[in-house]
Amino acid sequence: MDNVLADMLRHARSEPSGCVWFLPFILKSDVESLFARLNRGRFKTEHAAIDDFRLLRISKYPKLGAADEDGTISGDFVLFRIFERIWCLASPERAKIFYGCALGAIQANSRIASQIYIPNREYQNIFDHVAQNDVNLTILQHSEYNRLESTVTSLKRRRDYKSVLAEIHTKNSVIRRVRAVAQRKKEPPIIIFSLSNNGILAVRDGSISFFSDVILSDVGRIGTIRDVLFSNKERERLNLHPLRLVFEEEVLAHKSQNAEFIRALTSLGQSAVAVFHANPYLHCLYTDFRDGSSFNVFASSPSTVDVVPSIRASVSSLTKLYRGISEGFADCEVSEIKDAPPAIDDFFGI
Amino acid sequence: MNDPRDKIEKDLRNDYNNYDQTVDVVSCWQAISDYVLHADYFYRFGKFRDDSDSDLTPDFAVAWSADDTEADLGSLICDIKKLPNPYPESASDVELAEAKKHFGFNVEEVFKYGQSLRYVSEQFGLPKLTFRKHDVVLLTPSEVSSNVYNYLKEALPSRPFNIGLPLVLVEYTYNEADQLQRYVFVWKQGEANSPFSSPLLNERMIRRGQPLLGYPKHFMPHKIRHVTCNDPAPSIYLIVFLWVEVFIKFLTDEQFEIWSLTSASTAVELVLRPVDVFNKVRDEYATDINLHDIKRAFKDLVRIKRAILKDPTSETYVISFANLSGRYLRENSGQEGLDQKEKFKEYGRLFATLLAEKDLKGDGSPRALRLRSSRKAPINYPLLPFGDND
Repeated sequence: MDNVLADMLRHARSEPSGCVWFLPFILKSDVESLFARLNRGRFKTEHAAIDDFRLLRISKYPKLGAADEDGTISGDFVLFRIFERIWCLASPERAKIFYGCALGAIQANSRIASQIYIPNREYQNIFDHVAQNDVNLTILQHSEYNRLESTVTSLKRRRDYKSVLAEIHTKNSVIRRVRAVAQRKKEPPIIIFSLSNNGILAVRDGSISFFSDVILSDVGRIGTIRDVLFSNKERERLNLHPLRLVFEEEVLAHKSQNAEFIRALTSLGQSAVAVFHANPYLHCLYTDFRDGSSFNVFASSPSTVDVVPSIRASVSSLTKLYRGISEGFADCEVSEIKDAPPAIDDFFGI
Repeated sequence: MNDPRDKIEKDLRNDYNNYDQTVDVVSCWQAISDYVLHADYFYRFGKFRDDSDSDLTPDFAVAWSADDTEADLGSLICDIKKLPNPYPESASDVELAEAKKHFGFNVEEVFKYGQSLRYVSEQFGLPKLTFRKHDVVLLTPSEVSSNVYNYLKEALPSRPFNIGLPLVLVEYTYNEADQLQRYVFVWKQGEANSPFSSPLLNERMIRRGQPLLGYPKHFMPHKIRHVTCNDPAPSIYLIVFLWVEVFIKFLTDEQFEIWSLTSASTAVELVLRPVDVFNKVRDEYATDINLHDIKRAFKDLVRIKRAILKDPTSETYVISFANLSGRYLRENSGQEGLDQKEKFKEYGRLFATLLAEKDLKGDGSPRALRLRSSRKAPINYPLLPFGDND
């Protein structure tokens, strides 16, 4: 597989600002079902199996009533497996084609496919992994979303990754995309790549095998962990399978923060939010209109929010909700709830 | 300039919040039943019948039973009363007398539980216990509990309070101190208040004077599982739940496909009967929402033109279903007289606006959206801090 990717990179390097794009994603069905789904609605897909990968030609038609009804886009992609349920679409196509066809194909199939969200903490982990064995990791450019100001800023400046991440943390910002170079002193770059927080990567130059073994593999590992955590969480009649978001601080201690939380949820596209309580404690119902997944969301303490999936709860919708809260409200970690049943004394005050 | 829709909308949202609070309190006690009392049964839904064959619907009951026939001593039949203020400010003598009479009528509604009652509902899988030795528990917000206590002292000759069976007065409030938000239930202090027959509640709540606490993390799973309580849900509460949670589960893949070709704000037609929704909620959620309440919600969807009744014989409706988030704009006069356009993304607010607009236009029918009169709180009623969702 690496030979194919290396060929793609050679081809990309011959273009002025060419790169190879990578979209790792979680796939909840067999790959044939994905192909079937990519041959209806706005998508048409031809595919062929070659060695250990598939070659795809994906065409995407514009939305009904769109201004540019002739704006069909089409591109060629390779599809390969990273881990059991983690697949990756890759291509040296232009960004517009890659985002339109590859990302569009995954987003249009949220019932079975999900992107992999990379929170700040995982950026740190991936970059720490890259920067081993005397490798220096330098950020060339990054964009961040500042929650307090609701603004996205982009900065093109060479700096060590640790200082960039520390500054982002201090500013209560979220990384949107980072372009970086990894190299040892006085040696050519090992890899020049970018990583967006929706899991999309781009390689401009360097060693494809290093990229695959370290960076892509790390993103895939995050996807595997998220897949295990987010799968099969649907409510089975009265049996609930809640997840808990743990924030670094007591971010839900004041009513104004409840309002901020709700604003983060209502900002998510193709979603519906119904608030049962915002004052004083927080309880709302969130529905993803892409596939009908829904979740009860409530503050279980000033520093935790519990998410209770309903009878339909796709991995993709949970990812969207987690990303929406993590990016739009505050950094958080997600895990299963392992509380022991409450004891009698938990119910009595003094 | 006051917009008359604001008043109607505020009433609707108060209905919504009041009902939600009742669901919270019932859910708190379901958690208490499970984790504190370790009771055999919690009766959240259904009817009880008295010896004269009248059906009664208390808010909930907690029972132990050694033989699955009789409820044991210590079992509870409970009602939540968010009572109107008997002493409204700046009221005339006539109005005060009327308010006190209304207040007394509401308090005495609970007296009917002080007799032998038999649980009669079939559909909830609970044993049809006969309650003869239970305590009747009246739960009221703390703001009004002293008024209730004083009224009962006048109305009841027996000490401690007895209405054929012990009557226990419990006040509750919502406490945000120390950032550990929780409901707090306290046995109302007073020589006339009846003790609990449950030794545990007696020891903790009366002898040691410990408040009973309902933290969201403990009661929310019960609320999420059951959604409603034994009171009829106001239409706005159900419409919001059905629209955001349930209707979308009836969509076919093809209908989702339509949205991916266009957008989720494009209406798709859902052909549904209230009974279809009732069955789905019962079978897949194992939640019991009253069919009559669902029918009422459908009728209100027709009133706000989100549904039409296609076939009255089979009660088949066609719902014009779409994501309404951000679709409705309303001119709103700001405090400085500047017109602002509000865009509603949150569904509670959104449906309150739609229903209020329909109410203002008036369709000749009485408002069917309010809670039953005994639940309705007057304007100056001391509400718990649930007034605004903003």
